[in-house]
Amino acid sequence: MRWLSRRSFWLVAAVGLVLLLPFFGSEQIPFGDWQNPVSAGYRILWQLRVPRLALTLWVGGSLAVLGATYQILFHNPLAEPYLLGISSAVTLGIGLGEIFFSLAPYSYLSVLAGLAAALLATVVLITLSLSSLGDALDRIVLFGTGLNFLLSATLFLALSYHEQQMGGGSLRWLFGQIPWLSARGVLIFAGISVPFLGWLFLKARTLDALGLGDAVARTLGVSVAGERAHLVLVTSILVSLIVAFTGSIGFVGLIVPHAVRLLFRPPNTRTLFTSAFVMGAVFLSLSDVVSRAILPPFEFPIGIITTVVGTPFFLYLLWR
Amino acid sequence: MIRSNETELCRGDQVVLAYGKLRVTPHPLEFWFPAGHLIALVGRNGSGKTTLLRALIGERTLAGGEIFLWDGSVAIRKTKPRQIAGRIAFVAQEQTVPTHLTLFDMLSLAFLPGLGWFGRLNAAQRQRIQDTMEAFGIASLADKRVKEISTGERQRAALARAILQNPRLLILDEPTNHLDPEAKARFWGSLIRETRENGCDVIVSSHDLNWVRRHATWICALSEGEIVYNGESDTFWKGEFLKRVFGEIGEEIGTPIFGDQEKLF
Repeated sequence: MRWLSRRSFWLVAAVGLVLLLPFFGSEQIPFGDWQNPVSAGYRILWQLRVPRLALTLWVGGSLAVLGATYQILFHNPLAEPYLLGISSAVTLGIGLGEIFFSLAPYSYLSVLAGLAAALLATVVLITLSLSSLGDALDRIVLFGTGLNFLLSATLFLALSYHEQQMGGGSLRWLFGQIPWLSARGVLIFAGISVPFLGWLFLKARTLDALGLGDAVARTLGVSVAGERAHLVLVTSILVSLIVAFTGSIGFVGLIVPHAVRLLFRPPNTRTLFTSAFVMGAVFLSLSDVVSRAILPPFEFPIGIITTVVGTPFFLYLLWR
Repeated sequence: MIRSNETELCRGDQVVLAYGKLRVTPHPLEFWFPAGHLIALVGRNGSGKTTLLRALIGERTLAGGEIFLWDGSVAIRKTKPRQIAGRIAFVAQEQTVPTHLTLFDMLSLAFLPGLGWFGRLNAAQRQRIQDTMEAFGIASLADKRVKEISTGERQRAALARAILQNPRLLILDEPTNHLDPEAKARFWGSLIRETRENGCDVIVSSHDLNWVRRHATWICALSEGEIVYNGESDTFWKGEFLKRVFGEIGEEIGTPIFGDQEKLF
C-alpha cells in the first residue's frame, strides 16, 4: 500500500502544478484574472492558454501510453511511439503537400495528406504483421525502422530539392510543435482520439499476457498474430492523429514509461498506463510553458525542450 | 507404437514441423500419445522437441498435417486460442515477462480467458492465487517483480500460473534447464504433487534424464526430426534406443553410475 500513498502525493502535486500553468507564458497573467471577464488576462487564459493546456495534457499522456505499449509489445525498452515509421509517413505527407501543392500546415487538406500517407504505411505494416513474417516480432520492428528511415530520407530529399521551403511549416513537424487550436478544435481532436486510447487501456491485460511469450499467451486465449495486428493498427491511428497536429515530439514516449517504472513501480500494465498518462501529460504541458517562457515571444520547438528538461531528470532517476 | 484400449490424448497425422522457413522434420510424423501418462520428450538439442511441443498448442511450427487432442475432439489447427484456453497450459524453458509485472499480477493472468472488459478478479480467484502461492512457497514474493526474483522461483511461478489455469493437459518445455539442483528438485516435486492432485496429463521435454527415468511412464524420443521411440518407458532404457538418441554417450546413460547419481537428488 506504500506505493499508493506515494502515488497520491505525486498526483496532488501534479494537479496543483497543472492548474497554475496557464498563468505563465510570454505574458504573465495575475492570478485574479481567471474569473474577471473584463481583464485582458481573462481572454488569453480561456481562449488561448486553457485549450492549449488541454491539448498538451492529452497529447503528452497519449504519447506516454503509446510508448509504454510499444515497449511491452515489442519486448524492447528502447521502443517509442515513432518506432514504426508512421510519424515519418505523416510528416512526409504534410511536407509533400506543402512543397508540391502549397497546402498550408494545419489546413484540413494538409492534415488529410498526412493522415493518408500514414494510412498507407499502416496498411503495409498490418499486412506484414498478419503474414507469417509477423511471427518473428523483430521483423515488424526492423521493417518499421527501415520504413522510418526511408520515409524521412524521402522527405529530406524533397526538402533539399525545394530549398526555398526550408524553415517552412513542414520542418516544424520534425521537431514537434504544439499548435494554437481553438477550444472547439481541441475537443474535436480529443473526441476522435479518445476511443483509440480507451481501447489501449482495455487491452492492458492482453499486453501483459503477450509479454509472457507467444506460446503462453496462446494458451491464455490470446490470438497472438491477430491481437498484435489490432494493436499495431490502433496505435498507428493514434500516432498519426497526434503527429498530424503536433509533429514528432520526442522523448515523452520513450522516457516517461521508464520514469514511471522507476518512480512508482506499477504492478501491471493497467497501472503503468494510468501513471504514464498523468506523468506524460504533466511533463509535456510543463515543457510547453518552458518553451514559450524562455525568450518570449519566440517559441522553441517543444521536442527540443522535452529532451533538455527531461534528460537531467531521467539521469537523476537512474542514478539515485 | 502399440495401440491399446487406453484413451487417446493426442494423435499426429502427417505432421510437418518447421521453424520459420527451416524444416525440422525430414519426413512427416505419425504419432500417438495415450492419456493418463506422464509423457517425456527426450532427444538432443535441435532434435525437434520444442517445435513439436509448440505444434501441440497450434503454433505456426505446425507447418503441415494435423494434431488431434482428446480422442479427436479437438483438431488443433482449426481451433482458436480462445477454445483451448483453460484446457492446455504451457511452461516455457525461460519465462519472459514484462519488466514491471509483479508475481501476483502475473499469476492473475491465469484467469484472463474468463475476465470481463475491465479485467477485475473476484474474491474467489484472489483466494485461489493466494493458496497456490502458498502451496508453491512463493507467497512472500507476491509484490515482487517477476524479473527480480531468482530463476528457480520464476520457473516455479510459471508452473503455479499454469496450474491456476486448471488445464487438462500441461505442456512443459525443458522447464528446469537453468536451475540449480535444489531448485530443480523443488520444481519437479511441485509438478508431481500438483498434477497428481487434479489428474491432468503432462507432456514434458527435458534433459534431466535422472528425473525422466524415475517418473515418466511414456517416452517419446526424437532424433534429427524423426521419432525413434514412442512407447512405455521401461523398454526405452533397456533397448538400443539410447545410443540412437544420444549418440556414443547413450551407453553411459544406461550404466549403473546412473543409479548412484540418482541419490544426489
